[in-house]
Amino acid sequence: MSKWLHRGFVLVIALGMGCTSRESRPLLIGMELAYPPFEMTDPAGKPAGVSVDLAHALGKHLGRKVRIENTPFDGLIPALKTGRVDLVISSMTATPERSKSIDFSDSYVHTGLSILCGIDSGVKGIADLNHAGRTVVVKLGTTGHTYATQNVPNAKLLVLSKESACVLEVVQGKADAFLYDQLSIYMNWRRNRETTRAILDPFQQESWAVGIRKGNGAMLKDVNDFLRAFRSEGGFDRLGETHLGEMKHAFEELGYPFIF
Amino acid sequence: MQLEICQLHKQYNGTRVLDGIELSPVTAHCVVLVGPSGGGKTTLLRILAGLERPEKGSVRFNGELLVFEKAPLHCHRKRVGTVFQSFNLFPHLSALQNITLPLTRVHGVAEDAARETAMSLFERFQLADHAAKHPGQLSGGQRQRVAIVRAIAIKPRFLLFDEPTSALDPEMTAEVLEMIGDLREEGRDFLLVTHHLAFARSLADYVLFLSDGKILEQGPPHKVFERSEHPACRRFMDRVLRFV
Amino acid sequence: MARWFLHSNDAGGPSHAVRFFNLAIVCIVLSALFYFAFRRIAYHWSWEPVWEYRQKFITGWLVTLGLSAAALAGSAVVGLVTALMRRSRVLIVNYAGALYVELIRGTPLLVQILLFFYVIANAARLENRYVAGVVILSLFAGAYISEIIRAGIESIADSQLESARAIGLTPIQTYRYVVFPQAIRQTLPPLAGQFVSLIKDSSLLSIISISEFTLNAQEVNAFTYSTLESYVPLALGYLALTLPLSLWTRRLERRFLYAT
Repeated sequence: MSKWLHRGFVLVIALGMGCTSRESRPLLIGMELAYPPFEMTDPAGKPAGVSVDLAHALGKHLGRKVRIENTPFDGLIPALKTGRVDLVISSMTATPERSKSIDFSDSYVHTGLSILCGIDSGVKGIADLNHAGRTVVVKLGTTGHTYATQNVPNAKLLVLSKESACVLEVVQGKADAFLYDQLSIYMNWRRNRETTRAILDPFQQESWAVGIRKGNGAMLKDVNDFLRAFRSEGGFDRLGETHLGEMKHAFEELGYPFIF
Repeated sequence: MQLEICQLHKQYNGTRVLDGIELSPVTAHCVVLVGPSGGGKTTLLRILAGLERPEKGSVRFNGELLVFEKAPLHCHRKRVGTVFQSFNLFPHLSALQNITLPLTRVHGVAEDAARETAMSLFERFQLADHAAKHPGQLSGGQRQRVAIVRAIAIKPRFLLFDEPTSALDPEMTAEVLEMIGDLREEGRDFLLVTHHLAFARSLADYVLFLSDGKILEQGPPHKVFERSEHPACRRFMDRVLRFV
Repeated sequence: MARWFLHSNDAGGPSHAVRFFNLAIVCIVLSALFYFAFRRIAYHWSWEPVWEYRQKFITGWLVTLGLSAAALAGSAVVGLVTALMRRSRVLIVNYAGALYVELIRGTPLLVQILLFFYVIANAARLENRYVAGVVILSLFAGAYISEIIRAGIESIADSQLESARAIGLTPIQTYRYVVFPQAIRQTLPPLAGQFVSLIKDSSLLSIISISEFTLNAQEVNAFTYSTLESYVPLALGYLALTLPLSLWTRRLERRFLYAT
């Protein structure tokens, strides 16, 4: 009786997960399509951006079709752990804490955390924020969130799920500063010149990598091989020109090293 | 009580319900209104109860003019006890509370005095066992008798009954008619609209026959019921009394 | 045999033993389903990191409780006022109430939260987002509650109003002694149901960073990457609030069944 019950459940769940032959299955890559120009959707609604192109290039290298799974950022690692996605390419910083849960490939982007502050907030640096009476906004699950929780304990912390909401809080003066990656801070400042300032000098260096489920050593090796090959044949330079051309020049003028 | 009505007119949505009701001063304890449905009996009763306003005309009770303005009408209603065909009592209150509510809130009687009055009336009319029950737990006849107690508890100048037994079966009808009979014997003043003509005949001092919004016949019971001069009234009585 | 599994025709229904027996069967089957589902996807449960953050769960639960209670009171007031407005003979008052109800009932709560907080509260200089949250929830639930109350008031038959008039009650007295006591008893069950919805809907306030139960669970998930271990306590926590209310509702419904 229990054997058939067990088989019955297995069948139901297997059908539900659509398990067929492993090889013909597309490579599921998780990313949050809310992070232009790395992860976004084009006007037609299809995934586009740096990470999307990178994902497709990886697929070609591995000889597998690629399917992008749009997942909220704080749900990416859980999705990876439970097998809903096979890889995470979502401009995710490799941190020691995250490495306890998943494996990371070699880094492919070097950047850092910067500050977007209200134009009248009088914030000069990260140290200014660690006072009672200051309000800091971060996006749920990001390294900015972790940094703020650990290093800015005296400030009031607002946690939101969407980058746009975080920026709105700063623009409306409800928060003094938004802690996020350098590139996005720059772009958000550009879009809100009258209401915000950007302190682009990173107060914490970070690098992004591809997220892989623990115990999947073969995949880890494949991805690292791919990244090496991609870089040597100028893939990253191409990506930079296509998606980040204007940014590249702006950063050169400001004297910041570019991410790739 | 002395009742006088002068050229009373009332219409609803263009339909003339009361078409010049005229009654020279009549002194009687029990006035009964009879007649076919839609004749205007209920409307007349409601005007006399202070629930409706006529377009034209006047009414006098014991020589006093009934002023058809909001405040005087409210005063009038407080001094008159009305019992409708059904839905008199409030379902969320017990029988006792249904009696004490108007006594305490409208007539300013103290809580204890109100309860005493109510209970003594219940005792008199064999309703004491039902005092704590809600209307939903009472039979139709019991409900109507409680409604009558409510009407008399406020010591009204007179009572108005609008077909109080129409919704009841014969046995319950009997218990209510008995109670009304008792009230008559006490000498209370009331107006009664009913289609129980035999009962009406036994009780009434004065009868009004209404049809098409007019009083077509009036007088002591034997005149209206047996020796009516008006053809419409005779026709009505002949037909209905055949089965009484 | 049938006695053990079927609903009995006797007054009072099946015995407690029978009820418990069948309920146990349903719970066991449900648990078995979950168990085999988890075994199939080889989910590794790690409760320790979540246990470390238990204070966040407790704090969040208390905030949700407080928010819901405050919004409960607020929405009852709003609902009552609006119900009376919609019964008013002054047309402006009547239409204002109707417009408010239609707008609230026709738009999603999520949209109302964003619009109210980022536009209206900003214009009104309402700084405290917890106060804003209670106001938003009160306005939201108030619209639904006003309809429930209005139906309750209108269900009081005209004949009762007539009877009240005949015995000399003033309009205010009629409302106080006849209409409201009955309306409240009749509307209490649907009202309690609405309050259960309120508790669940309060979870949406997380999107404006009100630190209630859901947001705290999301943060724990972001820190520990233990999704199920974060969200299962979340679901149970809400049940702890809503289940007693639901049971109480059912008792109320039975109590106020009297013939009118």
